[in-house]
Amino acid sequence: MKSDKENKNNQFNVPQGYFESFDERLMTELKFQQLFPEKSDGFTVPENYFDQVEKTIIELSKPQGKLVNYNFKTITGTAAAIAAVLLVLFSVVNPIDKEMEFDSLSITSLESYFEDEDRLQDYFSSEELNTIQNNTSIFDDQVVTDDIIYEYVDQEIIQSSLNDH
Amino acid sequence: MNSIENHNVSLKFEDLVSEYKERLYWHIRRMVISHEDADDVLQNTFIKVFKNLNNFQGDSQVYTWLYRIATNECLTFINKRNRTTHLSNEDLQESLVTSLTSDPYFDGDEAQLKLQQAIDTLPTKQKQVFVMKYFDELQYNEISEILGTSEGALKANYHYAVKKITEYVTDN
Repeated sequence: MKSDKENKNNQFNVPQGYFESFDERLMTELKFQQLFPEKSDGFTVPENYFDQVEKTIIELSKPQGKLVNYNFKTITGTAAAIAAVLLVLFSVVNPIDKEMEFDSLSITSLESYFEDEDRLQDYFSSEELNTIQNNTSIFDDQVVTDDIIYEYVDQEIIQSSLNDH
Repeated sequence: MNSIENHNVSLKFEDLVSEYKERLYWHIRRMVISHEDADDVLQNTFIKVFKNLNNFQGDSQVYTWLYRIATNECLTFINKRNRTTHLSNEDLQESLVTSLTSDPYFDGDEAQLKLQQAIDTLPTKQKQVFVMKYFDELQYNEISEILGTSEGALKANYHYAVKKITEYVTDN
């Protein structure tokens, strides 16, 4: 066996603090294995579950409903007419130059928007979602102003996300 | 039927379901605990897989991609469940684990029940890492790809998880 002095000349290295924490890590692992010598979680499933769920999933992935052969020209014409009517209606009822105010959004609308899992997962990784959910410090104050929210989103989420990539 | 077909992989959706349903189920089950919830999340996972098959680039292994979707679906489900029940995650997990004693799809002994109780005291991230490493037997580089966390951080997470579980079981 080589002495410590001889080993100091080799080209290999270990992470900082590796040997200092080795004993503690080894003892933790040994204690755990003594407590749970067999790897089992005790969970079971109903009989034939996996065969049934496979059929269900394949069934769910199939297109629903009967296929109807539509005339493309008729559909295009109808869609264009509907779009034109909707455009006129919206420009009268809700003029384009009217700015959308944050206050005008109802809490329910905002909640519904962010509760849509697809939207959240499109923009945030699961780790970021966890961070957002666990970090409630911005709500410590009674009043949360728009500035606080904008600053939080900018600094905590966007900037840290940029730093990560 | 949808399929992945590019220069790296060529797999049909049915093949993915057939090949990975059990592995994903057990991963999901250990995160959400009840069979009924795991069944829902498994189906949602594969529906999402089906919708996104064409977006899979083949840059990662198929199963790490599937695991990532399953993991996200688990977190979404757990967050929604917490909001619906108005209980904290810890309280809800505790009540779910307590209900395991009368669960027809749990036949674990006292040690396994204790292990579940201990696992459910862990923060979500540590729980994910512990389940993936200990039960799913994934390598750190695979977990790193799934969770987007460095291998060093994962090793630390796993060590703390094992330590907390050991302490919990010893103290209780």
